[in-house]
Amino acid sequence: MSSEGPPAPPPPPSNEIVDITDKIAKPECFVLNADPKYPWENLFMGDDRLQLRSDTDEQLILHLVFSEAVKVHSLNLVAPEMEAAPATVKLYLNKTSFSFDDAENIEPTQVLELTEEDYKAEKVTLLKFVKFQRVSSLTIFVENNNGADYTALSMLRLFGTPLQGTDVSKIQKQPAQG
Amino acid sequence: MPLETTIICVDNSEWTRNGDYIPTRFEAQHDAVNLVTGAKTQQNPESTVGVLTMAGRGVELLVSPTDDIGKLLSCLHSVRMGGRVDMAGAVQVAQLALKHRRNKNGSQRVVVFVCSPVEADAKTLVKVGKQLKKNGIAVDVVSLGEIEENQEKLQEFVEATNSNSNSHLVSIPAGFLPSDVLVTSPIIHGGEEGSEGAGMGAGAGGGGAGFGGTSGLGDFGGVDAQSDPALAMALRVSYEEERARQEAAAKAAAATEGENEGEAKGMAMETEAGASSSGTAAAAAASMGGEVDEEEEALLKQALAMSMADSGSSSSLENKGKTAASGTGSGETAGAGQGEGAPMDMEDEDAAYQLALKMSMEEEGGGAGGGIYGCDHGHGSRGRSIVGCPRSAHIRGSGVCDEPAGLVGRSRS
Repeated sequence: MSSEGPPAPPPPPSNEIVDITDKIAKPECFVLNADPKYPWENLFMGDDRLQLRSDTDEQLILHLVFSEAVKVHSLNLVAPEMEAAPATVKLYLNKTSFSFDDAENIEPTQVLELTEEDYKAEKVTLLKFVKFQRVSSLTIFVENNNGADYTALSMLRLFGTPLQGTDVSKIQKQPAQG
Repeated sequence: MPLETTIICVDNSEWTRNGDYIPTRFEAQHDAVNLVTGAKTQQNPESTVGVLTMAGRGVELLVSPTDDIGKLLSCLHSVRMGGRVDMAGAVQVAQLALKHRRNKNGSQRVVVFVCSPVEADAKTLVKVGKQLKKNGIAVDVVSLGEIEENQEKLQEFVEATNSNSNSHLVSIPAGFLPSDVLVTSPIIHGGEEGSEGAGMGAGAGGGGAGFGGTSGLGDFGGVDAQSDPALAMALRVSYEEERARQEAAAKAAAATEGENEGEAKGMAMETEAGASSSGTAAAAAASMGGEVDEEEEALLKQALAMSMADSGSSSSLENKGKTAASGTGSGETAGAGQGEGAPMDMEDEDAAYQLALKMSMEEEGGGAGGGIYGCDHGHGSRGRSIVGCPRSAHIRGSGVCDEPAGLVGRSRS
């Protein structure tokens, strides 16, 4: 599947793998079953004490919308405590609406079984790159964790390539300059 | 107010034909739904509202979430009453409708009107409630008609859904106009302002206290606590200061009075006259007297008997002259402002003693400020606390008002 994909750090010449976390259009994203005291925006603060936590049970849905279509190559999740770290994570692509019912009924694009190794800050978890070639929204469904009542995450980073020529803001800038 | 998508679940079961709300439960509910749709769509230009019916041939979505107020107002006219309510199913349909809303950011809310006995068991409701909570949906429940029967289940349902106190249960006893009660409830003006209202209303129960505060101050020139909280607060502060001052004065007067027996004798007679229209006041007079002296007690008992006879023969109006002199207002007694404001021009100790009696009555009769915002019928805090108060205990005490029409009229004024 990912035989075409080169090893993680050296990217293919045309498509450089970069941090695409800033391509997330935050106003359109939402999270389900989050504790109001621990909102999902905390994931991008880069501080262990600022977390995203689940509320009623350990499940969590994080729906991320990108401002332009991207290729997603890998991701990095950081959890403050191993007990509350997600174990089974399902990824869904390009869903407009998503709830916990859908999580049961829809076939995920990829299922990740995350171990302690994956939660190290420097470690990236590779995805099936060929399946993530045109991603406008990515839904991360945390199905269960390592035993705690709630799931906690402190950081999320996504790596990949913005699809060229689709960045609307750049197109608008050019006539302004010229 | 934040952007919000709301689904209103309307009860159109056979129970809504009941005429205990004016004109019928369904019409009263219709009125309340119009109020909620109007409020929700105006709170934010992008807020949308949808309506579904819970009974009839099954749950039916009349209008999917829209900001078209015309559609929302007209959709209920064609609804037919019939069948039974499937509350759990309705809430799940509402959840589905919310899932496919147009504007994905912003919160989601389901407002459920319940006018018939809830058939679903508490367990199912709690399960549905948890599901709603998980999907980030808040719930407001308006209970009409079968209040006591449903109270427990609905309370559990709301508590299961509640997150960050975003869900509320409002019970509206028969005789009140639902839209009148809702307008000051947290369902219309959001949870945050509800707590502010509670602070102002000096008592328990967010919505109920807010309502009490509004109508109480309304007597001083129709100030609406919601539209002008600063002014209402200022009024309230000065009001309480004045009250404290009067209380102190009354205490002093009562102390001097206690020393003088002969005076107390005359006093008892005055008391009787003043309180003639409310037997309770006379009873308090008797209890007060008991502390002072035996002889006095006998006199007071006599006075009590006289007062009973007076009110029994409804001759209280004849005593009006005396009554006015002792500062209690007319035969109607003890309304919000009257008893409080009048003692300003009290001239003698008699009036002071009268006031002290009233104060002690109020303190006994219903916690802080209870008496102040009582309804006009002299049963003080009991009448007040039911209005919009989600606590079952308060509702149970709601045998309340013999003259609901009068109350409704008052809350409108």
